[in-house]
Amino acid sequence: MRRQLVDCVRFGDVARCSAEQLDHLDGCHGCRDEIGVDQAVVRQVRRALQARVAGRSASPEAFAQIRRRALAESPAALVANAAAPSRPTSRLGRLLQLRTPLRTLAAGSALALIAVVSSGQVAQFSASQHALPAVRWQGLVQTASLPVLEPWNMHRAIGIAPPQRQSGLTAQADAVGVVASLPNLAGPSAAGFFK
Amino acid sequence: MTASRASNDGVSVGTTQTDGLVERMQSGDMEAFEEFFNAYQRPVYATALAITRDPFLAEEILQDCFVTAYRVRERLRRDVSPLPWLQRVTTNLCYTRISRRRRRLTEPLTGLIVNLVADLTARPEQVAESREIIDVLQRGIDALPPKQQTAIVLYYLHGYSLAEAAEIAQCNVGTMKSRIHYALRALRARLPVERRGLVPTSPRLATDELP
Repeated sequence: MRRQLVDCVRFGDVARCSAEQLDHLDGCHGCRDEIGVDQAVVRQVRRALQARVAGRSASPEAFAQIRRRALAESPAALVANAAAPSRPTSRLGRLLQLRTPLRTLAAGSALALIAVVSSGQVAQFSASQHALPAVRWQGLVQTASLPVLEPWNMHRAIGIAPPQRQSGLTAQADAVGVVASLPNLAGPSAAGFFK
Repeated sequence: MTASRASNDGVSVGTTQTDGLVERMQSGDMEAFEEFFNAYQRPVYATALAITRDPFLAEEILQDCFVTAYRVRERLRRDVSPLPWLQRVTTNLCYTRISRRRRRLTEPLTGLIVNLVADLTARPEQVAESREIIDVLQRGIDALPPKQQTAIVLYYLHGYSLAEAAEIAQCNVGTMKSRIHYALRALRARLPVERRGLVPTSPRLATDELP
């Protein structure tokens, strides 16, 4: 009972103590002393932890270094190294992951398609191609080698010249094909479908 | 919209991400990344420093944490605060660094701590006693297993709820309670009996004084 009472008080759950426990606490000096000691230790631990960080902060150059490191990584390396904040644990999630290479290939091809359609160079590309040559299109500059990318990483495939950094590029892939669109550019919206 | 609250660091730890920072980061806006850094760097650095007690190592961990956040920004959820995830990355980085450091060092870096808590209004002997207690606890915290260290840092330093601390540590609430319990028990065992709760010299706790 003492352990339960100490836990209740320590974690702010006194309201969840049973009437029996509270009655016991009322008459048990040992339990009250134990709770008092626990509270005192917690106070000291808080002070010790606060002493560890008091008056300390990251250096003013911290962000500049982070920025430099973040930008130093190539898009391909970024994609290769990126770890998901959470991994799908369901069977469906794992199945979808298995399909990723096919979907990304299709999504890459869709990007090729929309860029090519917009730049009037349709004839130079086959439907299965997912590596784009340099293409300038509405302020977008395509890098020469396009890695196979997840749909949500497709914007990495194109270096977007400022100030149009927010392309709004979206792509959706399913069993039928891929629809990709670039709705927010200064010019007319573009969309492509790849089957 | 889900309610959010502020931790001891003054940063929202609720489940709602309302300011659109993540969206802007995901579109490649470096200014948004800087805002993101400024919004969350303080609790991240505090966690790293509280666990490692090494300002240089803490800054390295801070950098690694935010570089990682930038790398995976496409996959950060927009509908929840990124702080629990940042804290999880930070604690994992701390585990790695601490295990490396423990292999190299036989003694904790107690010498790095300056300005141990001292109540300047207290008598000199009380100040000395307070410093001694804090010093004992600092060594005790250093000696805790990393998961217990993390538990008390999240719960007692940052003031996260049990559920939030458990989410960051990727365990259930019962496990988090257990880690805190064993950490406190170990720390208490390090204190001389007469310094633990100052019980012999204090009036007993009345039921109505409970928090």
